[in-house]
Amino acid sequence: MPRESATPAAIEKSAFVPDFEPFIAARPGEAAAVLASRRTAMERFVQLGVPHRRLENWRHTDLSPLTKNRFTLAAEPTAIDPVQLVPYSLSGARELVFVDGFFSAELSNPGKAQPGLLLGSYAECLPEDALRWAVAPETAEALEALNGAYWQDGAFVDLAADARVEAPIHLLFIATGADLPLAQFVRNRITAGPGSRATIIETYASLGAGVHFTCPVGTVDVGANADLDHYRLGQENAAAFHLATSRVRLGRDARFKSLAFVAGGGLVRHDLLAELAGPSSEATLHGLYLAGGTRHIDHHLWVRHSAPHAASRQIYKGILAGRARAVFNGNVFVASEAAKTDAKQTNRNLLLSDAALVHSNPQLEIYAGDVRCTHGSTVGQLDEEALFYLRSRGLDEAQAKNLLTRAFASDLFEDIRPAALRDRLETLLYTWLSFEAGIAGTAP
Amino acid sequence: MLEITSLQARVEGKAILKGIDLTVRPGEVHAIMGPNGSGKSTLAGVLAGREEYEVTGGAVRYLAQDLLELAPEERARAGLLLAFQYPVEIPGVSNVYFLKAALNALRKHRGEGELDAVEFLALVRGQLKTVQMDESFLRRSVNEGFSGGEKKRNEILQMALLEPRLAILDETDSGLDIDALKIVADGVNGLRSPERSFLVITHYQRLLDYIVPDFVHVLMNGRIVRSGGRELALELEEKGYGWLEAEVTVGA
Ligand SMILES: Nc1ncnc2c1ncn2[C@@H]1O[C@H](COP(=O)(O)OP(=O)(O)OP(=O)(O)O)[C@@H](O)[C@H]1O
Ligand SMILES: [Mg+2]
Repeated sequence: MPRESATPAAIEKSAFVPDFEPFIAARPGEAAAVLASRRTAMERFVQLGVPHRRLENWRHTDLSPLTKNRFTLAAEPTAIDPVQLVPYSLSGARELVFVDGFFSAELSNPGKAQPGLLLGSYAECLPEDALRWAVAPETAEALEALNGAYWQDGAFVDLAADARVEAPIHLLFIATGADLPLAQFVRNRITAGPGSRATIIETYASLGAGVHFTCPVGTVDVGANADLDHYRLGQENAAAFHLATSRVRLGRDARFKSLAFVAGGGLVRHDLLAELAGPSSEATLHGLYLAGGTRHIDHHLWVRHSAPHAASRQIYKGILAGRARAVFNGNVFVASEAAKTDAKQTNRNLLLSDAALVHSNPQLEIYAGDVRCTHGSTVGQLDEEALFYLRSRGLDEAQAKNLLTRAFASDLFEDIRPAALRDRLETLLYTWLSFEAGIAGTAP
Repeated sequence: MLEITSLQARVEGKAILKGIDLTVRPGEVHAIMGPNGSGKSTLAGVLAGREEYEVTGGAVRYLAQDLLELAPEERARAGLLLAFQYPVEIPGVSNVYFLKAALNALRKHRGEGELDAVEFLALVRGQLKTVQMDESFLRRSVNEGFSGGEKKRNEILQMALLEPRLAILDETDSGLDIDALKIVADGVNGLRSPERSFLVITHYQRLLDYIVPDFVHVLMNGRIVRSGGRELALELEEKGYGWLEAEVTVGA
């Protein structure tokens, strides 16, 4: 169907679809099973189409700007000067670098081989894994299906039982962000075997200011007694679309701790689905989103307690300036068999401007007895009394606001283990406040 | 140093200060007393630049400047310091960071070099001793969970560090035990000099045994109704404010 004559609804339905056959035709070497899984995914996507605002879960996030663009996939890895990675790469880490969706062995530094650790390109390590969806393709969400159809590459991290990886593993996804709008469909699989321990950091960044579309799907399996720290850092450009889905599953006594730090992207949506499937598992889900200008940042959390004695802690905080919009939707579901669940959900938002807006919607759905579940959400401004106190001691207004805003977020920094990462995030927050929110302060 | 002439101010449409005249010369200590709600903190707040107070008349000159024209931070940099009646808790900002930022803001303004963490720590350690505060107070968040007396001592610590030209102490003695009261008084007396002035708001003559004022003023219903020497404080201690109220009504 020619795009020009289509109705708006049809445009949503047909976006990304016509490109599929040419995409498949250009992958003659791919295993039949993988191609078949791409087709299944495409069928699912055709069924669902691009999410629109008439859907309950997309009420506040409008993807029509996305479908106004025509994205293409990079045909081959874009060559970039390694110097451009310096601001993003993390010293002391095992690092995998991806450029416009392609793994780059030259730019990567996976470190010394370690027994029990598999670390590399998803496409190279385990292509047939494309068949192993975290959810059945028939029940996948639209963006997962889109990713399932078009995925190019991503990171594969596999920790064998009791493997302990000391250095953080850094997965760096670079979008070149040149004039031609590119899409990258990233597929990551992280498996932490029983009793294993690691720290994984995902960074999404753009080099240029051009429009691009990043659509990652991540699957994280945290085995029995495993201990996984996961950081997700978004610092793409203001024109970027970043629509991500992560599915996390925790086994018995597993521990998963995550921080989603969003300091970039123009239209950002992250669906984090975490299932506490094993008894006595523990998920700590933290988030900090910074939005200025006309950026839009949407977090949807789906925490499912399906085993007894498990604990989940969500703390998401937002700082908004300009005419930015944020959405927080936190859903905690406690199944009937999840007795003694301890779930806590907090969303706090700080508005630095009158024109910024937050939709915060925490939800509890409880089917088990004898549980402890709390939730709360706040939207507020800086404390005027504190502001005056600081100014009365000689700090100028911007400096005082900068300091109080950093204080608002400070508890989320306490738990950041890799020191290099904590420094980077503190600097990012400080820089964002100074340059995007217009409140220049004194460096941390 | 400070010259207040027929200062009037209101809060939320309600007149609180109804014509204050007060002159403080360098080196002087002035005590301001008066019943609850008479406008003492309002006066202190107007001088420090609180925005919720609307000045509706009068003028304030401070060190040859129009004080009311200055932003709160500019007043601080010009050497004015208000020790708060209710110091504010600031979770997430460590006390040491706050104190250093404050001192460096003033030093920068005075054209002196900013102190680095090590230099600052050396300086603040000495000051902590004079207010008998433990070093752990540096790491804690500003005033968070401090007891009433600890908050007041933290105010005096700031005064000692920032060395103001004019310090306004709003009931810094309230809620203090006798030892803490002496610490506060020693802090003030240690800073007394021919260039430095103090405006001490208090309800208790007891403080004035330690910080001996040059003048005592009584503020009632938004006006200074009586000024005198330190013996006025003793008289108030004995008779309360009732007799002044009667006089004011008769005089009005
Ligand atoms: N922000 C405000 N909003 C409304 N009313 C206010 C505000 N600040 C002060 N007032 C009122 O102004 C009057 C004077 O208050 P102020 O705090 O100056 O009294 P005070 O002399 O310091 O009393 P105290 O001895 O109890 O500290 C009071 O009636 C008080 O309620
Ligand atoms: Mg008062």
